[in-house]
Amino acid sequence: MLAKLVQTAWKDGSRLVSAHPFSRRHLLGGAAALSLGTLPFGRARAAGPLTVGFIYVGPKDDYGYNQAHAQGAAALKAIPGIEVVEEENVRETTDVQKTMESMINLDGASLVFPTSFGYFDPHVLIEAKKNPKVQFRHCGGLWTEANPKNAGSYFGYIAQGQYLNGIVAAHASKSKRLGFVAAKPVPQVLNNVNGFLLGARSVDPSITLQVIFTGEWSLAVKEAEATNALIDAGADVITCHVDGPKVVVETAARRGAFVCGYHADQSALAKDKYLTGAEWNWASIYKGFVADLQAGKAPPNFVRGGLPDGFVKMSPYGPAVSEAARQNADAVKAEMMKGGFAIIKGPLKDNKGNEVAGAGTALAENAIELEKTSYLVEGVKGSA
Amino acid sequence: MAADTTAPGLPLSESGADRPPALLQIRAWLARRAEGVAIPVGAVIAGFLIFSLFLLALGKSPLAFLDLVWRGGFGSPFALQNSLQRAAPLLLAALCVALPARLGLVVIGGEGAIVLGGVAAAAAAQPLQGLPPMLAVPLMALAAAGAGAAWIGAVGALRAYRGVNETIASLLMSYIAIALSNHLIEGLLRDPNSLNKPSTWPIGEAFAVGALPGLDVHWGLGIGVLACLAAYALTERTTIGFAARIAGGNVRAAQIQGLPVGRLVVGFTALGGACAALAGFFEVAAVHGNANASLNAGFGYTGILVAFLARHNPLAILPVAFLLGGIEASNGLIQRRMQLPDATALVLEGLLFLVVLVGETLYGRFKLFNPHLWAVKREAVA
Amino acid sequence: MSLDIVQMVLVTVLTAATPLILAAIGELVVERSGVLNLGVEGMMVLGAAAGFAVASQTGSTLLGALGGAGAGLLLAALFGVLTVGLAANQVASGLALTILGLGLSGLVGAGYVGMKRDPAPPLHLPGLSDLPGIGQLFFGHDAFVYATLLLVAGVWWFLWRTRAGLTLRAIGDDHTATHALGLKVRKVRFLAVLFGGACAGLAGAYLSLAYTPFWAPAMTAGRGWIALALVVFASWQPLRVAAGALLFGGATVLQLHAQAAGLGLPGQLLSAAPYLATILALVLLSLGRRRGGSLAPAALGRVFAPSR
Repeated sequence: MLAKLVQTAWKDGSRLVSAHPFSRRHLLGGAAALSLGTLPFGRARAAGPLTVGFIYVGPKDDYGYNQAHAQGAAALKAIPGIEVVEEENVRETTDVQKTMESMINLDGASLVFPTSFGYFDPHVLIEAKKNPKVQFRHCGGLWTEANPKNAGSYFGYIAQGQYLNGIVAAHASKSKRLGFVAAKPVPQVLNNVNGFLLGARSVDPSITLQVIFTGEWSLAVKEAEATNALIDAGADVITCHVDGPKVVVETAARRGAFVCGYHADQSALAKDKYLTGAEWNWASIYKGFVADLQAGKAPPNFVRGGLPDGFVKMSPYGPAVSEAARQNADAVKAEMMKGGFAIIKGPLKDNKGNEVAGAGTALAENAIELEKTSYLVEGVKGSA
Repeated sequence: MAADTTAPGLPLSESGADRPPALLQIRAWLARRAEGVAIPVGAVIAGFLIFSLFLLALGKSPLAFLDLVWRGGFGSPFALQNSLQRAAPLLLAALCVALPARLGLVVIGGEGAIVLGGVAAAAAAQPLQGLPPMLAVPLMALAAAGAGAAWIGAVGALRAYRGVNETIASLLMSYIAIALSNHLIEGLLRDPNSLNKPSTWPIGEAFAVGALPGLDVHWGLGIGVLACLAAYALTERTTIGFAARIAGGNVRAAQIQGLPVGRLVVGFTALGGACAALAGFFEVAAVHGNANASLNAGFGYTGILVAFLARHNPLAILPVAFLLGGIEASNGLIQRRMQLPDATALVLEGLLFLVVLVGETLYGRFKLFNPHLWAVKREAVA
Repeated sequence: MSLDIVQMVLVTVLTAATPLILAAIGELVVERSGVLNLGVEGMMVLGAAAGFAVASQTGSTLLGALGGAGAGLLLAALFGVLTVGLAANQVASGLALTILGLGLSGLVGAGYVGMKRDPAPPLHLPGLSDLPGIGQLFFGHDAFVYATLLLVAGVWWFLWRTRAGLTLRAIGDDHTATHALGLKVRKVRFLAVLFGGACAGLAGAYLSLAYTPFWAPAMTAGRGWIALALVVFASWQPLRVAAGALLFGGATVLQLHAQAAGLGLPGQLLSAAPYLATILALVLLSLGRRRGGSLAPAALGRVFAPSR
């Protein structure tokens, strides 16, 4: 039953990829389809179990980015014939190259997931060239046709989740000020900040969002300080984009603010203060890749998807979410499930007064422009 | 500085008439050499023993641990190359500590010089685009070395001419270098196409430094080994090295002898900084292809550990860096096979460091290794 | 209203400065006795882990604080045996302590990641704590903050107003002469090292039990090193340590508040501000003197080995 669900999600993912003829991903999708047939994919290890390696940049119990992947890995452990090896706290240096080689040479891994964004160039590329019989799938959407065919990328449009977070947050906020603890001003983070505010403004256009950048992906005490600073400045619903949101979630809840989760489900950390959260659903993707391998073919090289494709999911609503908020968010979610939902819609200005989308412009989740976002939309206090 | 109170190589004050017989002389020479090997090796073994107790307390098998260290770090061509790869930056980083140590200075700011050197190399690559790599790559290395030399040399200058404590100053300068580098990587030097991982402009395929022939380890290892050999020659076989050791032993005496203590201090710290910065250059030119936040990977701190374990002897840095490279190389395997947390390797490194420091205090205390104690006995008997 | 904002800023700065003051005041006493312990970061992070673990197991914040201080003290005792007892190199031993402390804290804390605790309760004096504008600043903190301020006053009094303090400073300036006078150089230094360790451990426990309150691996994030810089910046004066900590702690935390208020500042450069300020202070102090830097205890970092 589950496997079937996964398969459908999978197919939906590839459908979405080819549904937009003008995107780069269309071409890549084509390349992926081609490579399925042409790859000289030896099943030398077919007799033994399939060993899958997972590499994390931080601790795998961070209630965040790494834990989301570790949960995906845990789902694979339950499948017969699959062996999972994991290593945490691996630096984005030659260390990760050697970890990949060690998993391949000493553990016999034939599929490796180096999950941190910074692992791709040059580390994954080097190892993919060195080990043509091993499949590498990297989280982050960086693979292009010029890269080795035994490598690939997967990533999700999680800004959709932050948009839904924003809707629920707007209903819960009394001060009409929201807060966002962000790591670095890079496109993925900026898209999430923008998504959160635009979701909230779809409910109440007077809402503002204050954002603090901590400068690092993981800096626990500073994240707590930033959360406190936001609440001191009047924010009453907080969300974040850092590697381990547990600090932000705990701190906000303790201060009496509502909180929307990110990366993984943090409801246990905030109880009734937890509204909902934007989560990765890596288990479905990982199971799809493994099913491909077990069927004797290479997994696709480039997949991206959002809510409709099962790449991203929402935490269950917390007890503080009103009926009106649920209906509102569910209605928008239903829209998103159709595919092509545009968070960035013109006319729209950034917070410096420059126009970022003209009237009539609507950027669907997979629009190429979103990968280069360098602005914060009007209503966000803070500077990228 | 506790090390090197008995400077080897100095002429003995004994007169020719009392000279002991040749056989005893050879034994004495051997004993003095053996002490320098036996104590560190004994300390490392003691460190592993203490760590074994620690593992037993955690309910893990020390033998399984050692087996994995062997397999992960030394037991196969892959494991060996893995260890060598990890040793490469440590060689250069350790020299940043070992060279100033000749003058009795403790410089711990190598991390900053590595990061700054990497950024300088990446920045230098831009105006050099189009030049033949044979010319451009050395210039990049030179830019890195210059940045590192200036940074740590400034620490030396503050020490020599203003009396500022070099340990604290180098630590402060290191933090400033890292912050400055991050600022440059995310601002002035940022490649706008480096979207989600801010980096400088790539140096380009042409300028990339490759692997050593027949090995899967980049040229940083080769240069690191050469640098250690050169540093040994400089400190042990030249008058400059000799002058540095005199100044390290007693500044006042060196000044009375007319040695340029200030210039020696600045020179040795600058040289150390240049070495560390070269490690940064190799991270950029042979690994990342650009400068980014991953340059700040802690090589500088592990380098301090290596230098102290090697007693600041540039030749001893070679095996020590290899040993630590092996421990770090096997760390992943240990994590995967024994379900030990990542922090375990830190505990082992910290324990080894402490035990070696204890060993450090034992020099001159064992009769077996110290001929002057024999002499005392002979005199007492006579 | 504006008075409340001023109070909020001051309260924020004071709480952010507290761990720095604690760790730095301990290190100040150590350095005044002539010993340089670079292991503050390691003792602090182990104090944070052990403090959180003990508090979680016993349910008592007080025991947690004692546990944190005790863990720092134990690590410092190891350092003391090495440097004071065996006359090992102080800088190297301190670095070893940092590595060991980081490793041990990772193991001790492994079971407590993501676990929640209530923060140390703040003082509440009916009437006084609710005074507008000043109530929270003077009467609304937890016990750590008051203990820290008392400690600063106590250390100042000890160093400058007691005979024992004079002895300690004299030993820090010249161990050979004081040893010749019959003063117990090693004993005093060992006790100073223990005191420094307990303070660093307590600083860590404050982070994990009151300031945040949670345990996260390597959560001290360089505060131990800032504390070291702070002692130098304050030219080994207790009251200046407190003032400097307010400045350093304030700079980092107010940068976040400035962002929340919509002011963008170059965060990366600002994070280097404490180090830049310290090195500038060092240079300026050295320019004002012929031989430079002589505010430091003269025997700082030197090995004392009377038997050899």
